Amino acid sequence: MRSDSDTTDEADHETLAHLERALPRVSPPADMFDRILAEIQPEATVIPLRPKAQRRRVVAAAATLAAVAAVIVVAIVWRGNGLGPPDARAAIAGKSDAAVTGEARLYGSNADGGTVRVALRDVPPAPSGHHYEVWVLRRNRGSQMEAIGSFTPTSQTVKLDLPLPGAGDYAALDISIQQDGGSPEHSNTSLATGAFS
Amino acid sequence: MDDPALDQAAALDAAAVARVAGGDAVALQELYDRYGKVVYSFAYRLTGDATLAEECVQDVFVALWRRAADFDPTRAKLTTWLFIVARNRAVDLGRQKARRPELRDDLEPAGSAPDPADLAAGADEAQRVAEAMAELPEEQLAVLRLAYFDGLSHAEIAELIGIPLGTVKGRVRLALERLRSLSSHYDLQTDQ
Repeated sequence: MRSDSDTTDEADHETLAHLERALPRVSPPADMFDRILAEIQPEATVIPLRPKAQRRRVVAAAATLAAVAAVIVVAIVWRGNGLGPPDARAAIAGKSDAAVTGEARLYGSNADGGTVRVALRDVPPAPSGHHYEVWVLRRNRGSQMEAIGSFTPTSQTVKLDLPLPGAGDYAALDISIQQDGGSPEHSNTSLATGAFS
Repeated sequence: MDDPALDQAAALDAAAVARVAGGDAVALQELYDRYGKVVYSFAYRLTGDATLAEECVQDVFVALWRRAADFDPTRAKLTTWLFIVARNRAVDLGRQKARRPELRDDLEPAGSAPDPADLAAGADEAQRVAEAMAELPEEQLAVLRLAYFDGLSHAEIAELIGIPLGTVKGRVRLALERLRSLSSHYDLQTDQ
């Protein structure tokens, strides 16, 4: 341990020396918890939000473990309040399943680092070999939908905090049904959708 | 356990384990963030191998995930449970590796096999120290993790977690004092 002062007394040195004899000064790799998460994710109801780059590693590990190719794993967490007032809201309505309802709220969407909070009710299990993907549409991007995260629900209630891809004037949010290991493009089959206002 | 800080830590652990039992992976991450480095260091101490230590840590936290519903905080502390599971798994992994001659040759040159009694004593000692460290109050354990395992200076820690330098120094000092004060509980030997 590097110290910025020489005030550590002899007793502290002895304690540190004892620590060093018992426990090496080593740290696990940065992706250690991602590996754990990949193993338990199918059983989880609440999943920690992971940075996008890490999510991709989670995906790879999960796919290997599950012997399915390129299943996109989720970055999901329902963090408490504290984001302040939302920039915009969208009522989510079911398309392929009319029972699905919910709401999406944008936070900090006018700058990088924004978040969209999605709360869904009566979400059916993803069809076998499929998962759900969340997309957003920015008004200045034409009709290009941008994927921001995916999930396989373990209950009918789904709550997500997902990072936005950047600053923008967000027009809509869509949740598609995607084939595991399939095309990264929108499948053109939507579970539910909503427009921000 | 009469120490209010330790009681509080145990209560927080028990609450997190209850959430884990309900399928909350965020709670598991909280416990990993708190104890993962100490468990890894402990596993590394027992196996002497980074790959085995990683496998051990993964197995420990997956076991916690799968067995959280069976955990009874009135019967055992989580930290004790973690290090017992880690120790058993590290021993198993070490035995498996020892059965692979090509790896064993890399680990232990001929004629240098350690005495099993020494290994057991070392494991006992490492477990006592690991448990004592893991039971530090979170604010002290947080700075000790960064200072001890990550090698950050006090100034770097202050900048990283946004607290005054003097506070960092104070917490490190308190952590070391508390480790010493726990010595009787954990039979820490600081005069070796």
